[in-house]
Amino acid sequence: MNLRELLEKHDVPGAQVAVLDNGEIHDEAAGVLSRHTQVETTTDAIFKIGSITKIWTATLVQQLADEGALDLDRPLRTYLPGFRLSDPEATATVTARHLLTHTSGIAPNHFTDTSSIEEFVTALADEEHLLPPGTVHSYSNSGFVVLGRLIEVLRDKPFHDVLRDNLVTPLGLNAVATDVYEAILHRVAVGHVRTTPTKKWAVSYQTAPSGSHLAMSAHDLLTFVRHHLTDPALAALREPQLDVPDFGEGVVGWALAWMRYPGGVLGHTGVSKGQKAFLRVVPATGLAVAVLTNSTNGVPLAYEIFNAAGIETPPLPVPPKNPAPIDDWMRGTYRNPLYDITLDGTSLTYRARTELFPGKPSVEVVRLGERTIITTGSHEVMSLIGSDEHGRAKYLHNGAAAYRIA
Amino acid sequence: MGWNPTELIQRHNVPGAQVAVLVNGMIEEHAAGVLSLRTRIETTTDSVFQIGSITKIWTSTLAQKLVNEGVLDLDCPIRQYLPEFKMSDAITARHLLAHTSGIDGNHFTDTGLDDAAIARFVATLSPADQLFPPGTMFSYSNTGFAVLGRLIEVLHDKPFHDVLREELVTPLGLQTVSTNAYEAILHRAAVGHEAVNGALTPVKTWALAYSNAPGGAQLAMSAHDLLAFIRLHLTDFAELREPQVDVPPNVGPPQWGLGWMLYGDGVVGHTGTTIGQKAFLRVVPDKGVAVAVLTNGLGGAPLAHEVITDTLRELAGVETPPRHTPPADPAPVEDWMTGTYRGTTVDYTIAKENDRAFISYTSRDGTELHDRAEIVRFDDTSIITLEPDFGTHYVLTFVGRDDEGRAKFLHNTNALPRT
Repeated sequence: MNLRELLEKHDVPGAQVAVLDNGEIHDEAAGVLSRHTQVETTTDAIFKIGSITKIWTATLVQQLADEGALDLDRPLRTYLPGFRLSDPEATATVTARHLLTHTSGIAPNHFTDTSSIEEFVTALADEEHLLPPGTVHSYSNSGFVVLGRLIEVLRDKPFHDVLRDNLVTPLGLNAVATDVYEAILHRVAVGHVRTTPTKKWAVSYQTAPSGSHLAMSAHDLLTFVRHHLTDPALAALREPQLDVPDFGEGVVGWALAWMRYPGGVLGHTGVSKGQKAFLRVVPATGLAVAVLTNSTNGVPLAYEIFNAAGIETPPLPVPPKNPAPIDDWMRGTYRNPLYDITLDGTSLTYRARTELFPGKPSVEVVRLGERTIITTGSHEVMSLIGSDEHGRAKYLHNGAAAYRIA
Repeated sequence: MGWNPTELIQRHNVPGAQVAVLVNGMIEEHAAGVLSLRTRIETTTDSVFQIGSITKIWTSTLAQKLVNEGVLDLDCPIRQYLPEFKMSDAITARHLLAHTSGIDGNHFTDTGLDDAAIARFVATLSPADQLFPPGTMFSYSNTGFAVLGRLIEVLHDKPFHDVLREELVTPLGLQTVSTNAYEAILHRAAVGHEAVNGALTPVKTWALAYSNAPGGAQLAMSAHDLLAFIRLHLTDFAELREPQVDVPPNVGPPQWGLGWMLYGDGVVGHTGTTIGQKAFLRVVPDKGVAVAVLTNGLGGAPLAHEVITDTLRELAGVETPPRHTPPADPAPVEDWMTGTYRGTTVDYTIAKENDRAFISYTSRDGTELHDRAEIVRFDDTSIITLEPDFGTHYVLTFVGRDDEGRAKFLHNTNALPRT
């Protein structure tokens, strides 16, 4: 099936695919960049890569480490004297390695009304810090914004200038945009909720280092990946750091910023305002595949392409026909920054903890595996991990962790 | 009409253009060429182009709405509404709308992209930015319109672009209007072009700083939607077209109203120039006729002049004066004209060399710009550049005399005081 047929099959308006093989990049494009404008996708069009940006941010961090300007294991406060979280212990102990492996305990997202990366990081001082650093993996976009600030301070330049001066320009990438004002100069993809164009191209710029604005062609993304595979200094980022609970996307652990998949495959996923981006890299063979799509429907399309390219990618899990019961040790109430989430034998109930995100309806769940449950509606997978003195799970984990309070 | 958009853009070396014509209450629309020579995306009638300073008509309309609601008095000191405004107490909204405030016109300080950007920009102004006493002469001021934008924000207690949307864009049902790049990127959006080593090249910066939004930094739309807004002015807001001030000869229209350029013969309009995009609007309110020409190239001016001349002649029976060209046998440039004149960011020097004369432009921070052009005498008080720049000869006029009989100001719609 060619790309155009795959787009039709999966109801995705437009996509780019690039494959790195034997040092050569092959790319193709199909469909339209927006169902509204009907502008055709070309191989030099740009798509938002969302959280794949975290690999770029990690690369800038590693460059600082290689220059001796940064030690990943020293407290961040050494480099950011004003850095403060609401928990003094966390303030004193959080390191760059915690942030790169999502183990800092900083909440996944913050929705503070700030106008810069600096202000965003300053505002973290007033935000609840629920998980002590180093205790549990909990995916944090905000943690990567802190890394972005660290880069700004150590380089004495705005984040996007460092990105451009240290990666985009030296790698000769012509189809990369670090913000909307650059992106508008290119053929640029607009996200779609399924096939309806979104009304917003990007969320606020202050979260850029975690992946809110960076956009590029699949070709230029793989040029960057090729640099990773050929520059020995960047191999350090691929060292396994920890295993993570199953949250349904096939990720088994983390390296530094890189997600680890079975079989020595690395990668990352990016989701951003109706655009979904997918990257898989097999360092042992030098194979890499990037699939950039402009629809929330992008997942099965990307998985089909990965499998066709020889990177085995099992389908997303679905609820079993005859599920085992949700055991007592799983049940209870778990807290994250936004909700107290109660798991009983059949559902998850969300009680709002902030005014910003009011309560949401209960969702039905069933047992999936030994330590996992799956929602019956959107097929979200969560793990129940750890064990308290009563043998009950300590955390409910869906990529980010909620800790048991009852 | 005799013109063909595709033929026009080729002849004038413009990558892409939209033209819309309003007649009998209906809007006819045309599109030609590409939005960018890099992307080669075709221009459609629902693409968006930056309208630049034509935005000032939108800002003026918002100000007049506040007047109609009894919230704003055009003749009250601005400071009465904006206590933090640090310039002359005598400056009123009328001065700002008619460009007679004396506020130095071309500050384009970037104060960020967030909702507080305009407020921060206005806070950077100080009495040192006053060129002449308010109300004493005309000097086009983008900066003054930023102050108006801030006034509108304060009186509505909302960001400027929210007021624009709620008061005009939404009620008029305009689908393409984009107040910044975040909105424009959802449409087919034109990119400006500039000359790089003689070749037309897409610009690297899409728009001017958001701080200048009320004067025309980022607003983009289709020519159709611009005229759908202008249609409102055929029935309302006639007071904005009342003459307020005479403009020094030859540099622009003969008079200015509130926001509007007054071209005479019942024709009003505005022009807009941003980074590599040029926009043109002419309206004959008594005839219910309007024409908008939006372009993404430097040759937009002669192209628009052709379209406007032809369209207004045919639909409104109005003749458009020809564009300025150097006289065949010009009088000499005189000594009282020579000297250096100061703009917001650029110094202009008029100097004679043997039997020729030149204008040179020097960036005031001494870094960017060192350019010069030969000039000749245009008439008693004006000079004109000898060689056309993308089809345009620029005219500058000397205004007033100092004690030694030398010109006090060089005027290019901005009053530039002698230094």
